[in-house]
Amino acid sequence: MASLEGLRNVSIGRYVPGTSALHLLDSRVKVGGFLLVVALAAIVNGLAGLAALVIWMLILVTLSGIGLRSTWNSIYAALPFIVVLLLLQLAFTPIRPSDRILLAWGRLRLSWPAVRLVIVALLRFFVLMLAVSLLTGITSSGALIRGVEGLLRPFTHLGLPAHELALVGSVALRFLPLLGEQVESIAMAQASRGLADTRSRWKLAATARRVAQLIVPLFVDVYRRSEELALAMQARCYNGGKGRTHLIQERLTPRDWLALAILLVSSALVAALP
Amino acid sequence: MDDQGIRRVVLAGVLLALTLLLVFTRIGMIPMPTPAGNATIAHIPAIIGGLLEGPLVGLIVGLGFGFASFVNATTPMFKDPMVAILPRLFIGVVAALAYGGVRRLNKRGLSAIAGILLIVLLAAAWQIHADKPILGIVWAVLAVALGVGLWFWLRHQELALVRVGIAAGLGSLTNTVLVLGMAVVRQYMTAPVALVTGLTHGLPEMIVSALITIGVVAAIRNLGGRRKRRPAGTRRSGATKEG
Repeated sequence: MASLEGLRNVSIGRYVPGTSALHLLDSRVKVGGFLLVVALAAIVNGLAGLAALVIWMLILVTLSGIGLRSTWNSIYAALPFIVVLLLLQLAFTPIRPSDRILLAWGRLRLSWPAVRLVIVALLRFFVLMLAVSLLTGITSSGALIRGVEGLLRPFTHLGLPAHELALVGSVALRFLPLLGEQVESIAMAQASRGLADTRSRWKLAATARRVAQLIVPLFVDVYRRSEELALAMQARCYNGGKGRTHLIQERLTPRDWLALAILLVSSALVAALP
Repeated sequence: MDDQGIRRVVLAGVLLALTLLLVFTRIGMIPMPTPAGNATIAHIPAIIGGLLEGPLVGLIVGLGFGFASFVNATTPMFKDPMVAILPRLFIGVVAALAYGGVRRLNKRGLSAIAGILLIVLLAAAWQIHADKPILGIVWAVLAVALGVGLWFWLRHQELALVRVGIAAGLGSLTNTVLVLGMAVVRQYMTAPVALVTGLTHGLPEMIVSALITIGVVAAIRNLGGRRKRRPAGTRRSGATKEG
């Protein structure tokens, strides 16, 4: 039953409180920078550019003082899987006659495009892993929502409901531990009545039935809770984001502008690399 | 913001929380004996959001699912936002639109559509058979099984539930097809590998998500005649008028 413990402690990534220069940045800058890095990692296809991105993210993670351990742990856990996937990729990439052959051993031949593809996929994976753990490491969940709302605010003039979207996010974050508790109690109630927690790879139908037994009551409960919350909000005359003020007002300081400038220059450099 | 708007925002938020829970605790990952590892049921909140409150809610919850699976991914394939996030936007939207379309049809209309689908699938099987005989036969057997299953289901199940099931199945299919398609486009998989993964993962996911969605929607909307009505004291603001 060990799997039932700790469900209430779900969180997105791991926030490491700190006072480094990166921690103190405006949350809009953090979220914007993260999106920029993700976009870069998806677009850049060159080896040098991706390698530069990896080094750049490593420097940032070191500066922020959140430590590489958690990132390394998640990469380490996935390593065997990645290796198998990459070997498959190496074996199944079609070889064109014009390709440079690196290694020929019997029927096994390694072509440069296949190897390059594998290296690019690996580097991209590292960049994104580092970027995610950096963002969640230096940003608390509340600040994350604030950052997203702040970034979306200019689009309200185009009819995008920025405040409502941010509200969706904060409702979700507030409900997450509650639902965790709920799952825990449903699972324990079922376990105490003799439903075993079997998760075998081969007992497919049994596992699916077991999950369904857990999920359907959860969904129904979730729906009931959301109805209650909506009713409570209506009763308190909630009327959306218009004319709303905020407890925490964030202003861009010189530090934030400096960070933005560094970010933009470095991404331009990365994009320019081959 | 009107009452409907508040309900939508709150339901989207709560379903989003559920999605995050399913992804991050891995409850929503059903282990499978295939190289790709897990079948997911974490896309079901997006489908349910689409069915209950329309395409926009489905879109938002789908975006959350994509983001969660992107953050939580341990494979290069799902660390690519083009694979992890973009296709997921369409799950709830397709489910909502399909439900809107199917809701107007009666039993005869549904049977007609099932018949046309069967013919199209068999024609495709004939095409595949010419190229790869075994795959064509498998395809044809699956198509016939699907047709017969659908026919039995239409005869024996209440129509409202069949509609929900079809919409949910289509939403799940959207997830499978778009994610694998994107994986092929971005060169994480070759087309044959994607096709096999689609059969081994997509089909069970489709069936499981249809069943779970039917269970949930039936419980919430009081569909499916055998169920007792809830006592009058509990709230169900206008939820019974559809279905």
